[in-house]
Amino acid sequence: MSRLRTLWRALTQRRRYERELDDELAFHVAARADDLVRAGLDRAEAARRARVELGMAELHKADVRAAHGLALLDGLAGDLRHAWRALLRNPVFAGTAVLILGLAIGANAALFAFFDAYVLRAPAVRAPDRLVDIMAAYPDGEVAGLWTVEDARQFAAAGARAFEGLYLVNHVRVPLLGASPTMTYGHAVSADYFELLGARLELGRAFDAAEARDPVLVLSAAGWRRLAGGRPDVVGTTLQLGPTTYTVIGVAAEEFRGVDVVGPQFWMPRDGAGPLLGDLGSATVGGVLRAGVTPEQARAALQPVLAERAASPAPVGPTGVVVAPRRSMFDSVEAHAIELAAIPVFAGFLLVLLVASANLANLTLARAAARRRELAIRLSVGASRWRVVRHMLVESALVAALAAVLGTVACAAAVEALHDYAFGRLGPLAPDLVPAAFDARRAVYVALLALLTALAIGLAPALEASARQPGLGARDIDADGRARSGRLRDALLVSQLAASAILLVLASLIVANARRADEFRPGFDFGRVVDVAFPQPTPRLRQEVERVPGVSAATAVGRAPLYGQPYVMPVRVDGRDAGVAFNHVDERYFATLGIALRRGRSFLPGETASGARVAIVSAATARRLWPDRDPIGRVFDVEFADLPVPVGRYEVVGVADDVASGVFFAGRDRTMVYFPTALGEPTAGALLARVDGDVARALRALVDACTRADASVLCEPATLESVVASHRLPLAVAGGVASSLGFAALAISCIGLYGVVAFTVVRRTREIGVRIALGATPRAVLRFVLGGAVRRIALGLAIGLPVCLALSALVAANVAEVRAFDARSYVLTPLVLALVAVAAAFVQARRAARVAPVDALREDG
Amino acid sequence: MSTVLPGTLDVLVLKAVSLGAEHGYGLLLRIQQLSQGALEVEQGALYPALARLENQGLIESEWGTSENNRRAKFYSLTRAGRARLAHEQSAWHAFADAMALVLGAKKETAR
Repeated sequence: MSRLRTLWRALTQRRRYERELDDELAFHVAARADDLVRAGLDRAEAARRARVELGMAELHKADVRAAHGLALLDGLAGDLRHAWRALLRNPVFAGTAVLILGLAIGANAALFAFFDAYVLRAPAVRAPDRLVDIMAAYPDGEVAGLWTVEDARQFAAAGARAFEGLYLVNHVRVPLLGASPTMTYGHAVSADYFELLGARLELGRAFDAAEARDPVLVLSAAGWRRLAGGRPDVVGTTLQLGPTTYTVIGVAAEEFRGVDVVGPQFWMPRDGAGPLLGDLGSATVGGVLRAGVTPEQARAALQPVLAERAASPAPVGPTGVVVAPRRSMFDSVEAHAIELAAIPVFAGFLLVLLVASANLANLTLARAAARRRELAIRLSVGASRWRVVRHMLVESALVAALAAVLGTVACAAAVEALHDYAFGRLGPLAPDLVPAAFDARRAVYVALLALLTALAIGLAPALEASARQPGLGARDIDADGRARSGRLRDALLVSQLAASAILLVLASLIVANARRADEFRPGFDFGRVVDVAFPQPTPRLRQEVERVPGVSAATAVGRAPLYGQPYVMPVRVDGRDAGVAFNHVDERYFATLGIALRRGRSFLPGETASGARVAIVSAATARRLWPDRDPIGRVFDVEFADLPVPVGRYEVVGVADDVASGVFFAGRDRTMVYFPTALGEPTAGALLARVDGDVARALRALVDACTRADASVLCEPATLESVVASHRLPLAVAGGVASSLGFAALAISCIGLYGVVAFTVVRRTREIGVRIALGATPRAVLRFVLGGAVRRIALGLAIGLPVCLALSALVAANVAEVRAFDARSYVLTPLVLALVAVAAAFVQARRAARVAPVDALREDG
Repeated sequence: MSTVLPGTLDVLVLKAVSLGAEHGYGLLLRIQQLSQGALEVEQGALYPALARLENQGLIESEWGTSENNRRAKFYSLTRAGRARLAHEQSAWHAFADAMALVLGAKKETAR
């Protein structure tokens, strides 16, 4: 304790500490002099003798300071001042270093800020450590979140002693009607939700069990702003959500956003939400454990509810309960998936920081070599090796600290823009930016990055520089130093190039996959075909849609194309089984989408309404099932009862052109069989409209048409082309991020390569001069200098490309339909990388070739 | 007159402080007087030793006034210092006894 107190006093009141130290020694001298005077000396001689006896006061003071633990700090302060002056002497080098590292650290900090805000942070509720999800485990091992309300009711009874309470949540999407209808998103929750989670309200009050069926709403802070303009008198006003008028009774405080990443705009009592939910039979279930109850104990309390079902030989529904702590805004299954996905992303960002650091280490190494005489002198006059290492590490730490400050500032400035970039296209459903204030966790992360950076840029040069033998004369240090520092620099440079190659090739792979989406053409005019996106379309809807100006036709289809791979069913053809993709369409489908019929005819209105046993097949299907024969009039059998196609024998009446109706990277359908359907049938799940006029205007008019057909529906019509574009979004974002990382790494590596070649040239001027004096042509010198650079580049690529191939194979294995090998990525990218790197080396190599032998020999190495 | 053995300065200073709060110069005189002039502590080495002991929490310091009215820093023993001194004293005695036994050994006692 006293030790810390002294240290603290010495640090905070340094001047006083020094004064007291002086005073104490002064007293000693005075007291000794008094005694000497008493012994008979005169005052002046006594004072002199006393000082001599004490000896070198400064030395004793230094010992006292050391004993108080101040020496190390004093040394560090001195190193820091020295480092600061060194940076100021080289402002361009220092500025560039801080800028590059700062941006790299900033990017890493921003990534962490997102990850922290959305994945690591617990929901802002009363007892976040006791918040759990009740997940449903199925016999096949799948874990999902939905329970029947009956299960939930029994859980509440069985778990009364383990849980403070359980709550039910359903997600509701419903249009807010009024002057400008807009889609809203909210949660229908059980009545004790607010109390259980300890939600604080900004205005008004929450609903209770007595209001469980009333049309009342509690707005979230975000919903208050978006749906009610943030009016302070919002409590008591009404909102028309779909068919029902709701009264606003409260507004939640800003910090309470429920427990989901997409914060709801409102909460409504779930029992009264029937008209909006349609099905009140199931919900996600969460709860708050009683203090001291473990999730496992809670699970044991709930599991008996499912005992009967779990014992059944062919159970229907989930057979197991999983009580999973909800540690973030995602449930445990989602969180696990996100954490897995985050690993390569974090690795990529860190790689850039390391490339930047390795680069600086290289430059620092070069500078350290240039300072070899200074270092040798310091070592030979007695500076310990540790002292020299510390000195150089302090310099690195200062650069890293400045970069961390810059990175933090850059991250704070850019985080909102980055958020909008990443989530902007989700429109009104984009999660509100969780206020990502700079807090202790981010500070710790940034500090760790800074530490990593400081070590990465400083350790190797420091150890390398201090390893020189002080015994050798300052001039001769070279002999030993060169080989070592050269090897280290080469290793750094090669690994830098390898990392750049990895990042760039991965980036171009992602971009190539995204580009395939741009080049995708499904075989019909998907820019003019609009999915009205109306659940269970009705004949009434078709009438309204056909009335919209610009719409020339509307057609019913089982599943709108381009939303995912088509479903597949087994059929029996001429005694053989075959799996074919299938869809349901009405008689106008082919004309509306502009798909040509090669043979036969389309369905007839009578066939679609009656469910006649006829089918139309794609040309590829015809070739496959009936090679070299006319498919018209051929038959196949449907023998399984569980399909949306009735059992029976079907006759082929037409052959349609091949189109792509699945995800864009799968290409044209290998098989496709169309069965007849009509609006109003359960198999007619979507309505497509063909727009010949202005598409944007027609889309707006279609929204009104939906509302006229059914006031509770606000559809979101979109062209099928934009559906494909939305598939592409994650790839585009990933490609953008990966490319920027890759190009940043390449730029940094080239600066590094340039610097290293430049350094080699300067360093070997004498050798080059001798070669020229002995008759080497400039061309030979060029070849000799460039050769070294090319060898390093080749080695970097030789290491980077196999790693990259392995990585992308890994990605391809986990992400379906991503092509792991793209010739362009693997040939062009390394070529560009190599060319840029060679160009950087070439500039310097030319300088070497122009060395005049006399100058070179005169130069003092 | 001999200088102190390496490693024994701290114990000497600790013992000197234990006899009552005193300033640095006074401690020096005290050691000299107690050893009847046999031990002389190097004046400059005293203050680092005091700082070391203070840093270990064995002694504490306070500014006061000396006998001839000068401002001086007085050191006194802490509870931890008292315990350490007792420990060091018994350890030293044990060591000294053992040394005496060995150095005083006669030929016939050794096997």
